[in-house]
Amino acid sequence: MNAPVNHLILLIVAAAGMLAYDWRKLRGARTIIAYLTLYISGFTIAFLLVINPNLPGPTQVLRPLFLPLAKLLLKH
Amino acid sequence: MLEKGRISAAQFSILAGMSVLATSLLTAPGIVAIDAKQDMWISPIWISSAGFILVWTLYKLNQAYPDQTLVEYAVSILGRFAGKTVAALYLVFVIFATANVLRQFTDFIKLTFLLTTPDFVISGCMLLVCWLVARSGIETVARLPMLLLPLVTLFVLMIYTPSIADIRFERLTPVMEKGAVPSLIGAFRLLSWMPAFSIMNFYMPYLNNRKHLLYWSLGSVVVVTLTLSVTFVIVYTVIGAAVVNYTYPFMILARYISFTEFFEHLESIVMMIWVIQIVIRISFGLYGAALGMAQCFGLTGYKPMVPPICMLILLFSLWGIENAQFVSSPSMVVYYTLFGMMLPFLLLVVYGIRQLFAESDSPGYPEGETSA
Amino acid sequence: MRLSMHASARFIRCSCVRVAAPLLLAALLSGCWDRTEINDLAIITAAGMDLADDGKIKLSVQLFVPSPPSSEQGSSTSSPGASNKTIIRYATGLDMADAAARLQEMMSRRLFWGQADVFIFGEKLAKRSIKEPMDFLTRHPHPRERANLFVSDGEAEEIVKWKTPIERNSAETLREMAVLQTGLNTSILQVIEELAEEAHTAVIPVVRIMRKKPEVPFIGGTVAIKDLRQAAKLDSLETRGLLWLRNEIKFATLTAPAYPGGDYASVYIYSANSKLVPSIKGNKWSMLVAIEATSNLNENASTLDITKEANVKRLERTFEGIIQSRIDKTVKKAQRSGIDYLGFAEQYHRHYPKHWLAAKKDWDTRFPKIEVRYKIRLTIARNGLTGKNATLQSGGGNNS
Repeated sequence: MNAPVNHLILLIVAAAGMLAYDWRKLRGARTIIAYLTLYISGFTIAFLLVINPNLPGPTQVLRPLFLPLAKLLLKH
Repeated sequence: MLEKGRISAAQFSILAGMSVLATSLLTAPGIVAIDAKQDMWISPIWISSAGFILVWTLYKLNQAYPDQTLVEYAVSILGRFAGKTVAALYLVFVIFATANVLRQFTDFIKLTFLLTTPDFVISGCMLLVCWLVARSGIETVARLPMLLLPLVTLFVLMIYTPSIADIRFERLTPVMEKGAVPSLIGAFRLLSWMPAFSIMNFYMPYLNNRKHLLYWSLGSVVVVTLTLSVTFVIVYTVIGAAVVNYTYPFMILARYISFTEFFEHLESIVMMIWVIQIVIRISFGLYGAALGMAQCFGLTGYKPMVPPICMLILLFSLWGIENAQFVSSPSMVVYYTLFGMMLPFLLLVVYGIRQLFAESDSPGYPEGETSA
Repeated sequence: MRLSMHASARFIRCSCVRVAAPLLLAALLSGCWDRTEINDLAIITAAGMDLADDGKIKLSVQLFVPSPPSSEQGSSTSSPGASNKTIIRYATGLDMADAAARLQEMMSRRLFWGQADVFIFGEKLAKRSIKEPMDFLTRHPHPRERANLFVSDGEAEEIVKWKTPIERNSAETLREMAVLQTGLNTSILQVIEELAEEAHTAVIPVVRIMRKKPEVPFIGGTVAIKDLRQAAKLDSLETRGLLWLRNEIKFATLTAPAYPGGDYASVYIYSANSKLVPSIKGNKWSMLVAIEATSNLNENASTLDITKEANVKRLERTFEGIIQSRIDKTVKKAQRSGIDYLGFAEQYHRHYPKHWLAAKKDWDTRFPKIEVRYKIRLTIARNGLTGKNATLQSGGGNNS
């Protein structure tokens, strides 16, 4: 549990830094909403990944989804 | 409009061409050779047809909606809800594809040069550069490749020219030993690179000389095809049947060079080519994704979108990918093809049908009219 | 008021940056993960792989240990090579990677494979399988594809630890010998490539140690690899035949009696080109070995008057016969063993892909039956500085 704590702190610093840097430039409610949507989703995933690096990712979702079609095409 | 800058058709085509060549130059030979063997140089020629169709599709859509990107005309064509959904899916594809490129870059650097540096430091440094490029606007994104093209060309020639001594053309025979099938399977594997051309749609509205668009874009496909083909010929005539064994045959080629026992150890040049190309490729995708995202949300500027998308690209590049071999997996190729090639094509088909059935309902851009 | 607020805001921002910048820079201090300094490295110049008695792999490496130049006053007394030492280390492991890891345990410096120019397989290991070491050498990012491969006659270790008086170390000696092309010169990539070709065979030169004092390693002979293990062994002369077939002859000196019963004459071939031309007629497979060579007359102790054109032609035919018999010896040997290390399979594959596809399976039985024909053309372009050299020939010729 040593490494995650370091990484979490690093991540929080990065998240705070990014927000502090960008915040002044966000103009308009829509922009703020859009920015926060991406920002929160991104860092949520990041936090989850730091805590559990083996979290199933988009690749695991996508690959089985397209496997039948791929098999059909390549006949492997 | 979100972007005030204008680029020329030449810059546009160099940008697209170098972006597609970015990862394919290094990793494609090994992947294509698995099935195509000595016919691997034919595969790019097969797949160029797909490239031509894709570019033509984007061109037609651009003619129909000269000032819009895919994200916008998806809404115009499919209606608000379906359009936004398709646009969102497409944006995920762009981000995901760019993230995969970043992952390949990180893997290569980590495997061959910086063995102990953590992943996210390599990817992070790369993204930092791309972030700077992308937030400086379309003109920077498009002029950077033009600026670096001579350098990359020089480096590539520095690897090709000394290799000539080791070339044995008889290795390419027998041509089409088992018919066209092996090279076609190789071409299918190349499909994981060609869809990157679809990101062109984010740049098409900002050309200042749009009448040259089609020729320059097709030219870009031709150059990519020829470069790949020539690379494959050189790689196969030098390394031979052993290409299949290597993940990065292009680097093996560079390492194998021994020109009068003095001009050796050229792998660092490969790294330079690779870094430059990847910067271009990622900023190509990053700018497109940021612009598309801003348009999807209906924002007034795309710049606030760049940092969070960087973040997402970084995440996707590390998330759930244990091994570098995923790129060549057929299901990924299918995914790329569906979103990078079928999606624009279907949009064009739907647009065509709508034009046929409801002439009066068509969006207010009659063909042939160009807007400033 | 507004001004002061603005100023204070700017002050705060400035100080924020001033605090943040060193902190961020400090974060980089932990970095530099991949720094390597030359005196942290143990540079491998050659590695030998032997089969230990218990089936493990014994790795012996020749290390080049760079050390800082010693103080000024010592330089005159010590020899120039003394500051850079070549040392030998051994380790045994389950496979090559394991042995390398064991070796690392015994080292205070990190092993660096990037400068290893020579890899030697012990004969016993080559007879078992070269699969493990080859996989390690190609998978590992450091060993170079152009590094030379050898099979030793006996233990590889002996060659690795042999100390050379001329070059820096034995690796350098072997590499230079290979470059001179008296035998084969095969790189890792070439071997991998040949193994991937249709016949799945490869040839690797053999290093022997001359058993007389002083002991000298030299490249003599060839090992043919089939199914990743040593399948046949050629001596020096047979290797020359092999080189002809592979079109790898750069230069050669041929010596033979100028005419039956006469004294010896020698030619020096400086340009040679060979080609394998396969043909299939019905069920009869044959291979034409076409050779073009140009040479100079090197020595002629016989009474043959080489100023006459007919005699030169005669001499040319004689040497053509010599070349043919050399090649034929190698071909016969290969055909007897049924192992195609001559590259015939690849030729049929290239020129007759359809026939090849059908014959591929029983190639090992078909290969010995292939009829080999020769079309050799040797030209003696120059006779050297002397023409007839009457003084020497009249004296020597009368005696014999």
